[in-house]
Amino acid sequence: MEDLRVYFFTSRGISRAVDGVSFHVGEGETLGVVGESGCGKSVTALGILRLVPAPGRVVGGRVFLEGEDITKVSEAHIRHIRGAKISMILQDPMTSLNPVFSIGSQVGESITIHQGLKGRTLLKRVIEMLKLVRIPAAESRITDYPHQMSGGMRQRVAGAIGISCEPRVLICDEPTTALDVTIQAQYLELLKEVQERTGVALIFITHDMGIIARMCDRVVVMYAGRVVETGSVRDVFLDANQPYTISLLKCLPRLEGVAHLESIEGQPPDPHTFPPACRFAPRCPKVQPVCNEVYPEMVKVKEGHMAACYFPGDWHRDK
Amino acid sequence: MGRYIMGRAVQGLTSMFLVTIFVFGIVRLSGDPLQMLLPEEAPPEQYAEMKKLLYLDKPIVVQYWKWISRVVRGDLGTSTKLRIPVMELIGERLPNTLQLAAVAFAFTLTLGLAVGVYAAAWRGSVVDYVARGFAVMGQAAPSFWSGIIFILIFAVYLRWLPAGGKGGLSSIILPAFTLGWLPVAGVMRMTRSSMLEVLNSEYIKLARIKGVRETLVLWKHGFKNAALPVLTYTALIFIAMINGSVIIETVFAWPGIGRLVLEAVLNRDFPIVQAVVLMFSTWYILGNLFIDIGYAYLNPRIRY
Repeated sequence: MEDLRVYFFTSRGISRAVDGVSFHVGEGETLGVVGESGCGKSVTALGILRLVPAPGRVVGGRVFLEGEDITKVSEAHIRHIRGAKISMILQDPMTSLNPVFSIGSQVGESITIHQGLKGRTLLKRVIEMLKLVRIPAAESRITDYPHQMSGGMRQRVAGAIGISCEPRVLICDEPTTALDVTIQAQYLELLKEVQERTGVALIFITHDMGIIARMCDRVVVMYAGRVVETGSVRDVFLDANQPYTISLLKCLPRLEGVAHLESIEGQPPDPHTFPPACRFAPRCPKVQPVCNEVYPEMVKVKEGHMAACYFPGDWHRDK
Repeated sequence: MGRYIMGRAVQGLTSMFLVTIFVFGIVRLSGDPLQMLLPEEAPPEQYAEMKKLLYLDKPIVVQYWKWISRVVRGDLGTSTKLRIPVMELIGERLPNTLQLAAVAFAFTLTLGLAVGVYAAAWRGSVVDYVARGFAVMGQAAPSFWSGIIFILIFAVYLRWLPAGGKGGLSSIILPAFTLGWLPVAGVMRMTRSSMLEVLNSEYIKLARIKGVRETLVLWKHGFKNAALPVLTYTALIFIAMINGSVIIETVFAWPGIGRLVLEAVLNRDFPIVQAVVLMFSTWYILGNLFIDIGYAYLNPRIRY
């Protein structure tokens, strides 16, 4: 994905929710997208699928799927990509399933749309999918309605919907935020298992650095609609170069008994009035005059590790 | 599901029983029925004879029993003025009212639901604004007034349609439209707001993510959820249309139940009024019963 831009055209002006975001994810790989609430993570995901709600619009950038730019294809064509090649699991399982259809029909729907399966073969596939996400007694639960299931079970159903057509890319938009901690761990385990079986590329959207560390191969750190740092999880966690990433990591509790948890001063900026240059500058403890003049380009820290800062790495001298 | 329907049916029967008591009571409260039936100068023997004939000399419980057992057998009495059995009068007029209500109802459903759904889907578009304007006018204008205005425009000035009476197919257009305008506005507004809420939901987002066609997103995933509150309303308006036909039938000289009951009220013809009130109430109760069953079918959460 190159330089994706999603702007919202509101009465208060243009809100540049996603402003030139680029990343890539390979087969069987897990990419983490991390950032505070409202930094544009979810809008990026919807932008990939061209499903940004009005008054939002994808205004620029290109998204390549197996070599094809899907920002240019027809509406009918992208509909065949949605659910079939790129799929998504939403955050809240309590509201993301349709209350008036049985879970069997909801899981089967995209299979019918994209693969044309009907009747017995469809039923077999649906049960197979429900078994894959470890729903106990799948055969008897296909006629159940969402309200008859727990949150964890519903999120498994949502997972089954996501992988039902064996997509190449599965976007997980904070799929465990609404689940309690033990169920969370199980669910993450399950996603890993599904990935091993199907080789699907996972894009994991979260604000939880712990989940990133545990699940992902590479990570993209977003702040105010832009990517501020990207690299392998190991590189970014051990050698963070951008002040925002460093602040974010400092918010994590550590085993070696730090007296108190840090928090980042201030609030993320209002997307209608982003700072003109580096968007983190107003909150950055190391801000320099140049940070308020021009937005810093991504600079290479090492192979596969980039950071958008004029003074990458400077921070380590403080340690 | 069977248990649920049984429960609702028993509740319906209970309401029916209470209604019969109420209808029966109203007649007693309005004064001595004999004074309505006999001329003032009738001799006392005639009064006594009539009293015996109508069981008015018996205790009220016995009177109620005699009446209700006749009603159950389908005998609603005889019109005091016309001297024709009430059942016969209703049977003669009812098809006309049902015909008018059915056309108005079909018009209400198709226009109200379709425009409501698309006004929500294309929020802020021309369709949305025109629909809302049409709805506001429909809800603000009283039907006796809009009926007269329609007659003036389409029958008197333009001479496209007949002004009243029941003739060919064209004679039903004006009364059906007038009768349907208010409910069409209600259905439209309700469908629109219900759809707007549903379209914002996560499961609609998920349906689009799954690659479902937009028409199906609207009508399958959206409408089935949005229809729940509208359903109650639409079933009730069909009944309300039959009952509300009193005014429309008078304005358009439509020979239905509405005009029959209005004439009966003016003539103090109580058997007719009684029978029609009982009939209207029965429809309301049956209507509600069907709504509850339909609701349970549409919404699996109700099937307990």
